[in-house]
Amino acid sequence: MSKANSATLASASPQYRNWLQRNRRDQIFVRVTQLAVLLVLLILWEVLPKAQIINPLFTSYPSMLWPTFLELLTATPQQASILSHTLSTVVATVIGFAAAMVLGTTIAATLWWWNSLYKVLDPYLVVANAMPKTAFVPIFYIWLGATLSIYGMSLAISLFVTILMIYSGFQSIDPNKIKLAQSFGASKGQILRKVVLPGSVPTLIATLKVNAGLSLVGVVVGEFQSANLGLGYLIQYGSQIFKMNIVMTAVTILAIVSSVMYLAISWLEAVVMRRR
Amino acid sequence: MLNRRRVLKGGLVALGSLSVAPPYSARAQLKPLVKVRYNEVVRSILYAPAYVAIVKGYFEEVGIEQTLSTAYGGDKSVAALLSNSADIALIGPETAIYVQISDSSTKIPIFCGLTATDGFMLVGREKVSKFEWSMLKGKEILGFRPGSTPLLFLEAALRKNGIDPQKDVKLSNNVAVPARLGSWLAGQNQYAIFIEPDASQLELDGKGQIVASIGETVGFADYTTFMATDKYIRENPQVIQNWTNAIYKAQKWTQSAPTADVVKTLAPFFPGVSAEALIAATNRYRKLKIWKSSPAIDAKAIEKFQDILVEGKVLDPAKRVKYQDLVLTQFANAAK
Amino acid sequence: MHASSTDGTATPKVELRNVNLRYFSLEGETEALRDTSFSIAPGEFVAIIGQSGCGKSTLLSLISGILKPTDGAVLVDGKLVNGPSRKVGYMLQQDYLFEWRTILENAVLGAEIQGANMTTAREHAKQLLTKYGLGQFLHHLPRQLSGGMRQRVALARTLCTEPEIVLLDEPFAALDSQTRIALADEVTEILRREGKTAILVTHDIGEAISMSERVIVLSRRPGRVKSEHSIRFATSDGLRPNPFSARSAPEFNGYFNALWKELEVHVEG
Repeated sequence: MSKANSATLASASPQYRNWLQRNRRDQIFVRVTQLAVLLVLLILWEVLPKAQIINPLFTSYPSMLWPTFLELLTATPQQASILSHTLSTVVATVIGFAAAMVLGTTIAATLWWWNSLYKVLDPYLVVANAMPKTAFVPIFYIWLGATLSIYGMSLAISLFVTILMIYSGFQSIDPNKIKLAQSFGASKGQILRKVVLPGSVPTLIATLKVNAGLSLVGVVVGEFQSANLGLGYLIQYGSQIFKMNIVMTAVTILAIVSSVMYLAISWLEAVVMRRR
Repeated sequence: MLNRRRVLKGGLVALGSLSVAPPYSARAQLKPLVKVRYNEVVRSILYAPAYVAIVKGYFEEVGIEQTLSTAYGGDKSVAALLSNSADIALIGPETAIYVQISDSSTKIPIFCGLTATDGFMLVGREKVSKFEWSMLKGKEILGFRPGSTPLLFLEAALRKNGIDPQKDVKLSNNVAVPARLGSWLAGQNQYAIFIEPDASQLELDGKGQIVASIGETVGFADYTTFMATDKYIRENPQVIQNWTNAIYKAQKWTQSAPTADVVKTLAPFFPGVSAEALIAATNRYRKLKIWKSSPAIDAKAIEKFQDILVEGKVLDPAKRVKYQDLVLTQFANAAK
Repeated sequence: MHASSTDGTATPKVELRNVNLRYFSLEGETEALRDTSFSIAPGEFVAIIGQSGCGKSTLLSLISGILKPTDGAVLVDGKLVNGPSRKVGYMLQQDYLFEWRTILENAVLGAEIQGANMTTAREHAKQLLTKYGLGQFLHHLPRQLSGGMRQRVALARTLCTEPEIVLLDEPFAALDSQTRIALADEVTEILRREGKTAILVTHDIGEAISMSERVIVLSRRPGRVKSEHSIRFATSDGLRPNPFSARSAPEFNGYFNALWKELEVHVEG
């Protein structure tokens, strides 16, 4: 939508008016195409299994999503409500990435403070980051037990990437800003608190975006293995009893959850960046 | 008159006929062997007769060359069948039922039985001279994955003995399958279900006491069966019949062979399992009649199986399948 | 040649004695300054010029206490410099304002770090900023200001802590020439009025001549004091002209040519 206020529009040249119109048309075209793509996908998903081109046992139908969701809302002695499952996954994810952010920032700050420590740990951090943490699911399970292993996965999968990203952010602070603070006699702690940390806020937000996504993955993968609650568990359970509609409903909710998280972080980013 | 040339010629002809005449066991190989991709849901002693058939060449005898793969999951086994990466699979009947009630145009009917009922044993931590099911009230039991037949049968066994699985006991169902043994050894839960040979090994090591057989408690309800897509059965009825025949032969042998021979035949499929555990498991499963003695599957057994699924809330009672739609009886009936 | 202050008896405000500075890196050691000595009297406005890389900025870092000399002594008020001190204010080449702080918050940064009374500091900062014409922008963000305005905020930040010595490291280099000349006037006037000792490092010979009373010429790397020139203008009232007027004074060209030659000679070093 045009941000031009009425005063600007009133005095707008015909060429500008034309340009605004074309702009709006482009935006509408993009939106319509986006919706069309979604619609085509949904139609294919509905029609192809019904026509037995794809085996419906493997895909279920989009028309089953809402009825399945309603059915799963009620809790039974065997099965909690889908809302409880969703809450369980979301809580584990949030705790995971919050812990990763706090722990990761603290460790990054420690490495920044003691450069020799960074030099010693650097290769270990790089390897730890490169290793696929999903390979650790069974190990975490044995070390931490069923519930904690999910939180452990959620934390581990995002911790190393957090440390590396934030440390890199710290290192990329303009050294002249640090020189400026030093010229006033700032201590290392003051430099950290007044220059490095506030200057790293964009990096922290970028890291948060990465973290949230990774933690969700970690939680879901952990739940596949060892849960009786959560969206990952529902996916595993639905697959076990050949109810693909449950699997698809859980997957759809996962997609919604991750979108909401991403939007929330983007909103936070907008708020923070306004003051810069 | 004995002519030297005639003797030589006769000798050569005799020698020649010996080399040309095919040996008895290879007579069936005159026709090329039909390749069958065989998929088992897990590796388990419960399926002993199948391994016997493989080791003793019963499949080759009926003209089948099988390749064995293990799926580690019912859904994976079914996926292999439906995506045509396996021809015959050994899976629990629940999968055939789920596919039967689904919208899939391909169904996977059952044609041959193998295990008569659940093979899990209820193991307790403390030794008791006489086990009563009421001893389980208020205790923690290591169960199995939600929705799986081991758990469904355990719950059925509990209910049969007046115990409400949700209220009277605490079932731990979130332990990952590979970690179950470790969890038990680490002291978690007071009771657990374990399959052979794990159950016997625990008892031999003094880490538990087998107090009940789930299968015996619940009764006969076929636990694992051979199935294939309806298309494959339609197009290869002779292969299906031959397979059933081979299994029948193996079932008869497993029934009557000395325990030592059975253990010797099974051992290659279970490296790392002690001979004592294999012996105990073999004796127990034979005593419980868990290894079927014929491929025929009873309608009553299928109905009991569906009862258990319905009680466990994984099957809608309105969606029960008809025995004749699920099981093709002609092959077992004609087995020899 | 040894540059000295006009009054030989009082303690120099800033003194360098035989200072050497070598930078060490894995590629080797670089000698930035060799046997540099000079002193500056209290209230003096001195400019240091020299070719690029001759160690001018290094000198300022030494005086501000951020760097330590490899050899020799750096003294302020007769005492060895042992790290940054409140007496020295350092204005860098760019404003380096923190984009997440408002103008006012930026101006009090130094006071904040030095643990001064923040209410007094904020008042002082407000006065300075208003004096420099930024009274309307106290709560704006740096990105909303032009380059010249931001450099004025940097000046306010430097003076807010009331240093006795002000180091200026080519503070106008990033600005356009008009703003540069205007700011030169303002800054010189403020520093002279407050009686600050000022050391200006610059590339711009004209700037050095118009703003300072004495110009020290540094040789090519490794930097040594090559020469010093007293800058005097004859004016009707005996007071120093402001930098803008100084540029049109008759003595200007003479000094300019002399200094130009000095720098050119150093092409072969």
